[in-house]
Amino acid sequence: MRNYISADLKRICRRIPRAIVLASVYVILILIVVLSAGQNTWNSVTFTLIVEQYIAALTVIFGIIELISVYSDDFKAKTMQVAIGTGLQRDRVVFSKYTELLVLTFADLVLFAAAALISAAVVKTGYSADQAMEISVLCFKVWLSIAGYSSLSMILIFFTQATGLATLLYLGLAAKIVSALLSLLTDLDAIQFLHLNRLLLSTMLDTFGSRLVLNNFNVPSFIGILVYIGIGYAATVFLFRKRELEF
Amino acid sequence: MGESVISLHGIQKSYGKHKVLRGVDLEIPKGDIFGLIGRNGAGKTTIFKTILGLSDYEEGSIDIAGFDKDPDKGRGRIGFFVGSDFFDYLSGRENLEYYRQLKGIKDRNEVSRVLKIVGLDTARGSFKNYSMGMKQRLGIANALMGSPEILILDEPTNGLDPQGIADMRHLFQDLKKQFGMTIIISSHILGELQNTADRFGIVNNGIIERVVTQEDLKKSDNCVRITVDDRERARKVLEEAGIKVLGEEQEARSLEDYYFNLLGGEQNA
Ligand SMILES: Nc1ncnc2c1ncn2[C@@H]1O[C@H](COP(=O)(O)OP(=O)(O)O)[C@@H](O)[C@H]1O
Ligand SMILES: [Mg+2]
Repeated sequence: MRNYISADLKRICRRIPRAIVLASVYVILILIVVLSAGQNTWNSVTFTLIVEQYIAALTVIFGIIELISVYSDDFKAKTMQVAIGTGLQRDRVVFSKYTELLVLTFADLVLFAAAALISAAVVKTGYSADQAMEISVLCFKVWLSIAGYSSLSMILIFFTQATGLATLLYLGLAAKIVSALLSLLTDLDAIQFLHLNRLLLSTMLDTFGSRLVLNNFNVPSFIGILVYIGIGYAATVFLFRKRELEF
Repeated sequence: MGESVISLHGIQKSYGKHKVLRGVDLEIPKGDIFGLIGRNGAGKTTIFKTILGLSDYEEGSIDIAGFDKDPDKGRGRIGFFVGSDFFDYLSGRENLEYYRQLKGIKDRNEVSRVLKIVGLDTARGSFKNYSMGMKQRLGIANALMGSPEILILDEPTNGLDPQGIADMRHLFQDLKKQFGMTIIISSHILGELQNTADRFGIVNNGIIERVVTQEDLKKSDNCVRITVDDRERARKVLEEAGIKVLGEEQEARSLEDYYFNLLGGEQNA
């Protein structure tokens, strides 16, 4: 299992198209910071606002890049079949792949936060420790969101043995299209009093993130997020157990 | 028959309503080259997939290398080739380097070793530019990595040219001799394994119809084929010696025989 993860991570990090996309994310960020620094409205507040706006897009960007990096080539080369055929248990395959996704997106986000803070320091934006903390906290929230949405998408990935449909689902979740549709339902007069909205993954992520920025670790929403991750993960393992793998 | 390294008992499997394996019983003796032969669609690949844990089955049991309770452990002893899919943006060597890490093989020379065995040690360029035969051989190299005790090869000679097929046969014999590997090879071409395998399982319609050995094939001892240069004289000599010629037919040369005679190169191992 550790061998599978480390072999994959090495391979993925050498993938040139992925490196190009990631590099452009960082380059654009640095350009925005450096170029905005010349404007007279620029200060630590505008810096934080701009970066936060950028961070909001990362759930989709990093999530989809890494989802494709982790799974798409694997399916084409039928690596899972080799791993299972030479004795790796299926549950461990699921675990390995999910871990890879978490490790990669974590690294992407750490790099992002570092790039933002370092480039701002270089152009002498005097941000405070609180502002730096806020940016880091929001990156952490993005990571949790990726963990949650991808664990749900993983059900489709392993079941269809392809990334197409699952990427669509991920996009629907991460771009909050799914939650927008669901809240139409939960806001229906007949059930509105139940406040089911609170139970949506996106609501819990927002609650958790906005509280954490205020230095308040909201336990119920954190547990809710973990429950969603657990459900996605368990359903994947269950459905994958007997899944026919093709050659 | 010595001890079995793989035993299948009463394996039944369906795809929806279509019953594909209807009670497969199979014993693979240690150190043998076992040919699994049968027409397309007979169930050969499905048998391999159940052994490898890639396909679930409804009934029966599988014992790999004595690990009947924990087939995943047994699978650790298997190297297999079922298709030659690889990362097409990596070279052959890089692909194998990846699988070396995945399989947890410590020896860094392993990739060079197996590439040499299949004759790809000097191949250049990325996998996507490989010829069919090179892809096939890379797949077999991957199966050989880590010197598994058991080798499963699903139609390994598909898409190879005659020289490639002959080379492959040599390779199987060498692996058996040098490493004592147990090798299971499937083929839908009957002649292909004739001189390579020790034992044949004939798959038909989802069951093993019969298992025959080389000895069984040789046992039909009144029927021999003698190739002579002078047919008339040979018949006379036999009659003078009091041997009745019961039948005689003009034998067409096998195309393969003809091909190798014409172009040189090696035929059977
Ligand atoms: N994934 C699948 N879904 C449905 N039917 C399948 C599948 N794989 C194989 N089959 C059917 O199972 C039978 C046996 O196939 P297979 O084991 O591939 O035969 P062989 O390898 O001997 O050519 C065939 O009739 C084939 O159509
Ligand atoms: Mg087949």
